[in-house]
Amino acid sequence: MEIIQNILIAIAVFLSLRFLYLKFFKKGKSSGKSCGGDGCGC
Amino acid sequence: MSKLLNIALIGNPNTGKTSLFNTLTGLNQKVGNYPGITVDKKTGKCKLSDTISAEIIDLPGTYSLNASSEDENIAVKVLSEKGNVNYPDIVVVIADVENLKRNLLLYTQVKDLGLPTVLAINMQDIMASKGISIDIDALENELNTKIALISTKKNIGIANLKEILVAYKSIPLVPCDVCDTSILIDKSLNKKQQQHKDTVKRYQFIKIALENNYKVEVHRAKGFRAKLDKVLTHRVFGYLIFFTILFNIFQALFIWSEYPMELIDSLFAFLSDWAKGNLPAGGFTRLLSEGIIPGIGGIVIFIPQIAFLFLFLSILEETGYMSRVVFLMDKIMRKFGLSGKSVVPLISGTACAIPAIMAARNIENWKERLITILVTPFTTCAARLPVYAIIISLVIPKGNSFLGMNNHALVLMSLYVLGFAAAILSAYILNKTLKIKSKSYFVIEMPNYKMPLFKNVFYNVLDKTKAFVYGAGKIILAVSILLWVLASYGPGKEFNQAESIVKIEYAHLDENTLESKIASYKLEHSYIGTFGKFIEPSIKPLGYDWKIGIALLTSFAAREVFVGTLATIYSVGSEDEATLMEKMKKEVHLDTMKPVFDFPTGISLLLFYAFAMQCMSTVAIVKKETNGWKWPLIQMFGMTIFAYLVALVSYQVLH
Repeated sequence: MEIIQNILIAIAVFLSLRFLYLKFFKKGKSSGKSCGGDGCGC
Repeated sequence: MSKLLNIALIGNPNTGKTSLFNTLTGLNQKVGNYPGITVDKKTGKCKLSDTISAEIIDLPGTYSLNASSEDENIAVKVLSEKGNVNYPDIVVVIADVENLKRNLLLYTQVKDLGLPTVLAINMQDIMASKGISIDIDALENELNTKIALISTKKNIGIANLKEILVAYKSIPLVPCDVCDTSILIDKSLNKKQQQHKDTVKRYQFIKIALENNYKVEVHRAKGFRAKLDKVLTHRVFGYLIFFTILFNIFQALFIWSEYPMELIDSLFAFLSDWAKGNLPAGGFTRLLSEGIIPGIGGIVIFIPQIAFLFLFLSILEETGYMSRVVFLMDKIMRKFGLSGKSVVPLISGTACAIPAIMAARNIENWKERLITILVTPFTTCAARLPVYAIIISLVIPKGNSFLGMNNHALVLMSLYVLGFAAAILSAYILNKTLKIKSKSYFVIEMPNYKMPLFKNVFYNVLDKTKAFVYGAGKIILAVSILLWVLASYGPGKEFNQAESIVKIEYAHLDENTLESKIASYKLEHSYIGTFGKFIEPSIKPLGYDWKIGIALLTSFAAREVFVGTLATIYSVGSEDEATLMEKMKKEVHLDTMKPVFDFPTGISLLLFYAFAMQCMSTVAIVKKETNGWKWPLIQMFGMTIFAYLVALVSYQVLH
């Protein structure tokens, strides 16, 4: 069980890093928006 | 299978274009982007008949097709490029019955493009009270089209409009043909002069078309509006009324949101506890209960406040009052060297700096536009609200003081005023240093006063709140996961042998206190704790400890991450199911046992967040709008250094 939980943590970390990288460094590819999905409330 | 038509809605601002879009599409809407540019593209599906459906595109509001701004460019591109994916089968030009003459300029230009063009004349419901009468049949003949007289407010004429759209093939494609080609080939005229002459010709055509078919009994049209305008834009009462309205909004934000926020806070504390108690024990369960759930809860809790803020702003916009505010504030803005057009970005900045910075595109003068772009992030955006709300609740005592006003609301309003003041003062300084010489003109349309349309307000609040929560939620989720990992693992034996070290050092403590000491020791020696300790000397003079330091750093991605970060940090290793607010209240400096979030630290944090440029998306959009890294970097470092100094001085004075 502990191994499965650790694998899930590793997947969550990988997906988070990937999301933030795409969001802030490859903007066009992640959302296609300049203003969407940044929590800016617009 | 039903046939799908592409229909484009186009019209002047304030004609009810978006109301018609909402009426036709209901909840079947989506917001995207036009390819390659950053202007929002709103589309929606609508059923016109049993066999025909339509994909409706809501083009940006524009006065003409003489493309001088990015918004107008889009309308021209969509309507004139046959290869464009959005190229319509039919165009609906929406006109306001009270300003038909002006609105028809756009109609004649669209009609000349050779597309089936339907004219929808909106606000039919006010015709009787304004003394307006129209001979529709005669006007249809003059304009060579089909006309639908509608009221989006009262839902009148929509079925008729749909029938006209279904039978669009019967609409004559004959252009208005008012464009005199000799104007276009006259080489002595530049583009502006050509447009001017063309516009004059078009108005001559419109005048003839309306001459006998559109009548207004002028004495019935004036009166109430003029009187109200006089009061609302009065040099004393105007400001007084504006600030009274603003204050009541902030008062309501706190009072009305209190119970739903407490409910959400308790719900997430319960969820976190439930996950811990019922899911299989292990790292991932702890990630869920100590990282993801508190992190997301930290943003969901602000839905009531965000929704109320946009509710009030939408009502002010819908009633027509916001245009009076823009007019009123223009008088102040000019004294500080800003363009009158800068008022729009600054006011939109209360929602978000990004669309506000994009809204600066309609300022023709580059230096004035640049100044507007540089100062707009000072205005208090929605992302600052969660940070302000939690710190105000922590350090400002509840109750009423000044003229019976709620203390929390008063401080919040002061922060909004402070942001605005910082924006115009820095604009003044920039204006002096950048030496702007050229002038620009400020023109704003004062729409009629009207009762706000519930569905417009509803869709606006829904759109804005959804964008905030989903947008912020995704970043916060990702940041919370990474933070939890960095806070739950650490380098060296200090972290790995934390339990035995603490047990030896604090052998005299009872079991509960010992548990809490171990959790605290582990956090301090985790990866994030080590880094927090590393930067602590630079933020200590501002009254912050290393935990606040971590939140400051992570919130460089987006301000509201501050709350999510604290929620994660204070949950790691904690068995306590208290709400975030309670945890923050209990937090003490271990050396002095004094509360971390005391008055001087709270004020210092509020001031830091009021001035610091903590939004990577804003940096990105400024880079895009200014075509380089020079201005966004100057802006980011300038604002952050200023914020640091103000927070430093305030803490040192208050401490």
